[in-house]
Amino acid sequence: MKRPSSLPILKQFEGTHHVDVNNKGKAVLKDEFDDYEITDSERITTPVICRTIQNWESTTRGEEFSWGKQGLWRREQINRAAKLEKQLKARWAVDGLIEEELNRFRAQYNRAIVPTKLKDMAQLIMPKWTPSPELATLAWLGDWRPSTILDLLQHLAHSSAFSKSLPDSVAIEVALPQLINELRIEEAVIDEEMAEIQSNCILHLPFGPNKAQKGAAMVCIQSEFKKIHRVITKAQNLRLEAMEMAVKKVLSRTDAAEFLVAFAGIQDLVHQWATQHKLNTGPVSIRTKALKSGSPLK
Amino acid sequence: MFKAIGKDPFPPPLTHTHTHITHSIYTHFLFKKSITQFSFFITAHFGFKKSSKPFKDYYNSWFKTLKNILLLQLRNAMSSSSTSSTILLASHVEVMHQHFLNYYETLDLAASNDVAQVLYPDWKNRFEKPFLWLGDLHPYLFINLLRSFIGDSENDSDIFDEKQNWHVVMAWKSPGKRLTNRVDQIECGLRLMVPALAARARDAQAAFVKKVAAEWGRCEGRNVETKGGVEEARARDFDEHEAASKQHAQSTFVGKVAREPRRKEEMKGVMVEGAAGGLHAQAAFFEKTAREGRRKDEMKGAVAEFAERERHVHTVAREGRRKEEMRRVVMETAAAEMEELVGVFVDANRLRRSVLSDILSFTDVYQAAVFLEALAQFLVGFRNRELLSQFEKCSLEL
Repeated sequence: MKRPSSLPILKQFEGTHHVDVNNKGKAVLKDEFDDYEITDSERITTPVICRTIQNWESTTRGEEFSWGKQGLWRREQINRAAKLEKQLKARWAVDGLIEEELNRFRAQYNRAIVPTKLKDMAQLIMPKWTPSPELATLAWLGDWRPSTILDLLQHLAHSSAFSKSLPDSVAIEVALPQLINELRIEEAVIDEEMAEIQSNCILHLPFGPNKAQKGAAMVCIQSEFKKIHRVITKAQNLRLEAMEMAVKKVLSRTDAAEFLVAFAGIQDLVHQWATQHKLNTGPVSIRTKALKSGSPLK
Repeated sequence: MFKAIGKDPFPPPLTHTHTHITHSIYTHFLFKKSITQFSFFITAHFGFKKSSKPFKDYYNSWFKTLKNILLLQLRNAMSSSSTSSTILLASHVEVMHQHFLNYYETLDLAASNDVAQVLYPDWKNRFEKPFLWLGDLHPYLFINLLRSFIGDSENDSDIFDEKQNWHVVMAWKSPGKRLTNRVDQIECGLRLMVPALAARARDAQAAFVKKVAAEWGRCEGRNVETKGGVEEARARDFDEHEAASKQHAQSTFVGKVAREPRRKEEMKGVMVEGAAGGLHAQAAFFEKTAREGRRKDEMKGAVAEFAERERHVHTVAREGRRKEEMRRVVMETAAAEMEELVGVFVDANRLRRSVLSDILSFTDVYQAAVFLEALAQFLVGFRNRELLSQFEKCSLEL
């Protein structure tokens, strides 16, 4: 797979960008990231009113230690720790939710990997529960097209749906299009494999010109369906890879959450539209006047 | 001629006949109305008008014609060895060819009605569906089917059944260099066009996602603004509330100041009347002040609750408007995508049609007959009842 080699590009770009712009050392860069992390989780919970870091004066020489000052300092420390704990808990909660959402995708995309009967194969490619306009709008081999998942990420980033830091970053401008391109190449490879089955292996079916001389018809069909199953599994893996890449590798925690919200929201909107559209259109029909003479319906 | 323009010069007399005509017109109107209602019912419940037919019906009918009439006729003509059989075979080949062309043209018409349903056809069975590319047979299939005869011609034994037409048996024995070159040319063209069509379908989806994502971001962005707006409104409410409190405090103070001389007078009176009476007046004053305080707190609570409710109503209304706008955007963008997909689907059908016609243009009548017979048999095979029944019951796992 080409993917792993391209993954670090994102982080690399991010790092280079910060170093170039700020011209600061590694330690400064690390501090900046740490600061980002806190700001991210802050946006999730109630905003902390005062964000400026207060510079506490050190005890001056000759000043006496007082019980009062110590007590004040301790109370401040406890307050700060409580605030930090609150932010951490919020962060863990978001982490948990993101992981839960990813697990749902894993479960959904792994449907193709679990043993399937011959007649269920059609459900993987054209699920009955998904209206045909929704499939036409977004699907490739039964579910979201992997490159479209990253397309969505790219355009959401450009449309300022995410935090301010992301749209300008080099990762979105350079690395993401590269990843989308790679996904498109892999989709094309899978398309070719599927085309080979649909145009060549199909001839080995029991009624085809290249039918196997020996063996039962169902065994022959099973052999061809197994090939399709392998292709579908590859497609599902690619989808999952795209989703994990978007959520885990490209985006920060808050942006990942925002992306998942947008993903679910857009899918729901498309589903609603598709259901309504199918209901309004009814079964696909043809105008009888438009049919030529000699047509079976005339 | 007639002065009263716009009036009927010969108004019909109000007779029994007229009443009868009026009645019959009324009955006719009612009948027409019921017909309209019925057709509306049909349209609403079955989704198609009287002048249109479901594509599924067309396909079933088309398939029956292929299986029960055209394929049998072609086979009979192929096995006949009479002298006039070549002309007959040529006509059957042409009829079969036209039958396929008619199917693809009708598919195009159906696509303009709803491309999504022809891309994911529910008239195809579960056995056929995994083998569909853009709603129908893959264009490579025609070429590969043809190549299977060219490959077979080299391996076939020379056993000849006397019942068969000698020309048909020998059709693919030595296809010739010209034919194989032509097949290579068609395949080269297909190898360029098929991925291009797949890319167009992919780009249409990407364009949809781009537009919807941009609108989503815009709405979310506006949401951020409104969030800011809420904060501002909250701050404004707070300021107003503060000002109102201050004003209230001032008036209370003025009232207090005004009351103070009276209180002093009272106190003086009290001093005169005696300590016990003074204590009583003081207690009454404190009670009054406490009551005032409680009333103020209640008012503050009511104002805050009202402001909160107002904010909630505004937020819900804004959320509703945002969702409505997104729905509109999805509908419009999806319509644009469907239009593009109609183009892709029609081009895919054009490709299928042109490959089929090309094949029939450079093959002789016997080769064409063998090819079309195999193609028709292929389609019929997918709908073989016995095989389908086995397929549905099959417990083999993948």
